[in-house]
Amino acid sequence: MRVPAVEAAGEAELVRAAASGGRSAWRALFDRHHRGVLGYCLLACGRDRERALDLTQETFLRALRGLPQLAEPERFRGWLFSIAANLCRGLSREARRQEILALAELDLEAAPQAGEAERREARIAAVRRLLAGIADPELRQVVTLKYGEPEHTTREIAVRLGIPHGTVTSRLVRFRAAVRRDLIRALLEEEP
Amino acid sequence: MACAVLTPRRIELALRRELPPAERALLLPHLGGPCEQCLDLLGSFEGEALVERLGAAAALTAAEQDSLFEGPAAAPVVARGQSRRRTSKRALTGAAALATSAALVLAVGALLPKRVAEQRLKGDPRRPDAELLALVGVQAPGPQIARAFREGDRLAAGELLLLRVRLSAPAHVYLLVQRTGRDAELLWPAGVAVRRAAGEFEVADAGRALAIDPRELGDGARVLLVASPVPLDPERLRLGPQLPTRAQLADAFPGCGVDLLTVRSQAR
Repeated sequence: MRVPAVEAAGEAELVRAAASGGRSAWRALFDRHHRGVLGYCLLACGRDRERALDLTQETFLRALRGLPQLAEPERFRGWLFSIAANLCRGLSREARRQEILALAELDLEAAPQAGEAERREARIAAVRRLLAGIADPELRQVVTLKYGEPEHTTREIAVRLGIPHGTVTSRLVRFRAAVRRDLIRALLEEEP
Repeated sequence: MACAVLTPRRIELALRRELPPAERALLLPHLGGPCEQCLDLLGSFEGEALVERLGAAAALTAAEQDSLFEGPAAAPVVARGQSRRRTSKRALTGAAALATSAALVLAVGALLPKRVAEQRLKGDPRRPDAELLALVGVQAPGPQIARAFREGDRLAAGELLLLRVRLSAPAHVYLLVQRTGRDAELLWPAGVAVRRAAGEFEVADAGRALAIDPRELGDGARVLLVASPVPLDPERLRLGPQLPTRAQLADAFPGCGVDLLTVRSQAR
């Protein structure tokens, strides 16, 4: 049964409650995120529904087990998707699928976990390819600092480039829109 | 002004893979070009919303959602470092070495014994019928399938056992190995068991066929298969040293599909 108070609660609050064994809190987190995780897994396994369901279940299982160790509950969503990304990695050996996943991750801001050098490389490669299509040098600077090596926060970028924070975020909104466009294009190209 | 080519409806259809070919032919080149209106529209989508639409396109029923939730929720939380893995390293000798591809195993499907799921005991409709199918592989002169393995067969030196599982319904699958006079040990999976779809699959680890070296197990060891509709805690998979019959195994795991295989091999 759903509890309205639980449904209205903040993400971090739910994560803390779920980590303490709160089943309704965990259900609320599951309800919020399972479609997104399933969608990501569908991307990873070429729309194989059964496989994607397995991966989704495994993602939530690992997340539930790892909840007590999640140091920053407010980063639950990105952490959850990084678990899904780790699970999906073995399924997506071919370069094209890696690129689709890298694009999806860029858009989700699912940070790769420590030791995920291979995934990080795929993300960086996707950014490089997208940068090649960006004519605006200022936008290129912002994107490079945000997704390059090392990564910078938007506030750090604003300070470094001497531009308002709002300008940085609006440029990144534009860039992410381009990522979504590429993601849709990649999906269309994937079709037979 | 909105873009006339990329519309919310077309995004929706593209994510569902339901975009008519003519519209796809129109949209694809357009997405490769610079269109500020496209970016205006896409800027209003959250990234998660896009993948969520993909997930929504899978149209999960309420029962499927509950099943997806109940699996993880039913399993107990364990502390970091408390490994579920109880796989016998010795039993897995040669697992990585035999790089037999799934395609190769599939190609010899005709070799497999013709035991069919329908001949199995009927019971609880949720209880999956499960069957172990075994193949004999060799590493030299190159990794290959030698023949099908039938109950009572004896494996020669250098031969390895490769397993496939056939399920009548989705299940979480566990393989245990029981050496003579020893408690059963969880052999596979090494990590958490995922729900397998009905049908047949190869037992594999990290994309490679799992090869069991019978000499490491000793003559007369058993491979036990347990297929459960819900994930099982490793503690539930404990079995004493007495070799069970199929009926005893079924009694030990009510609601689960079970099968077993005796592995006879030449002495080292």
